[in-house]
Amino acid sequence: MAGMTDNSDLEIVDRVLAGDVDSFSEIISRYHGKIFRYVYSKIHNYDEAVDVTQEIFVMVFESLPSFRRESKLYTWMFSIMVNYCKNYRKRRGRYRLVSLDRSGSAEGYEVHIKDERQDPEKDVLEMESLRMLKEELFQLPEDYREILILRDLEGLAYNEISKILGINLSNVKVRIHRGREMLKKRLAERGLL
Amino acid sequence: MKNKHISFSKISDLYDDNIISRTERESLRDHLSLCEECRREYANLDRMLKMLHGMDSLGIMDEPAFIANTIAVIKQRRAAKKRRSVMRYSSLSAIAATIIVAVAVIVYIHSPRLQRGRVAEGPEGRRVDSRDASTVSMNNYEVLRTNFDIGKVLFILDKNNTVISDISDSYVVGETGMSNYRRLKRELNMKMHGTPLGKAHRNVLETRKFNLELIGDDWPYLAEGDQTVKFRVNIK
Repeated sequence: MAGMTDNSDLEIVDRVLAGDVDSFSEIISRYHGKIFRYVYSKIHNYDEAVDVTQEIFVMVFESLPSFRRESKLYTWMFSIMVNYCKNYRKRRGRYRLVSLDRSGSAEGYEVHIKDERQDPEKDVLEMESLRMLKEELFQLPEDYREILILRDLEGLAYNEISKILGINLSNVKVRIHRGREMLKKRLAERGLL
Repeated sequence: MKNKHISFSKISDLYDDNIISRTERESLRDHLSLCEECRREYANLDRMLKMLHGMDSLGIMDEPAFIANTIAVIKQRRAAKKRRSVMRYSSLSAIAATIIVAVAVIVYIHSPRLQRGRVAEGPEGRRVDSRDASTVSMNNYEVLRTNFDIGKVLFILDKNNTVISDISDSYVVGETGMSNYRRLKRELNMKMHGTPLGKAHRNVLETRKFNLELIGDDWPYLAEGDQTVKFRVNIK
């Protein structure tokens, strides 16, 4: 989230607003991972999360003329994302129920590792740790899960999270403390810490 | 601080080290260097958060296809939106045109101009242009608008190429050729009850509602062809 990235984000926005739709693919390329992870943590279904991520990008594109540049592009995009997910939940009435059986993912989607290290045993252990971490993270209460994803996975600053979620800074701090503590306990119970 | 363990929230704050003051941070670090239990807590948090960072590899499997699909969807919706917008504007213009035409027709139908004739000199030398409402007195204009009988008379007069020189709420004065005058009689559906010679130069025609008479000093029955005669239609 460096300042340079933000400047070039704005340059891309300018190009898109000038009619160069293809330039928007750079924005998608930069942020699809972050948006997808948040959406996936809410929906727990790979295919649905991909569709919702796509819808969010379409909505971001259509809303670009109203982007006032008072905040960074990704903060603005994340606000759209959070609202979209809230509305999506209302529209669907519920999240799709998925099995979080510890023996494996019912959705057939495993954590996708791009790491290319040459130690297979270590890779397997790491994959297993990540799978357990994902399970425990996704079982946290929604408020804590959401905030840990924004802070500890996506690296957003406290004030950005406050803006995106519409809660005050002390609430952000409290949720982060509690979420981390809860997750740490769960991971310790499963022998990961 | 040295005897008491640090709370988890303080350890958590220390991890995000820009949210606490430098003094507090230094004090916490001093404690960590002395307290093994707190150091372990901090190390566990650090490990957990590093694992969380490792989850950023979780993502969409086929990125290029996802990006291409999303751009295609955006273009498709953009084109559809443009089409909808064009259709909306064209239907709006059609509605607007229909309304304008309808209003124009209504105004035209109700306008007294439809029922008036051409330009003539009024009896007082005033120029009367029956197509220009400003030359007709307000009183007469109102009469034109409200009095159906006058409207009907004016319509017939106009149709028969007469020149109207004066209008009031009880009569219309005008000029026309003798042949037109005869046609006027028929148009106004009049019946001649008699034109006794003894009545000199005035020819009176009785009608159901209108009374048409020739006026002027000349002997009207000597008028021939298109010789102009003056007439007056009295409205009962």
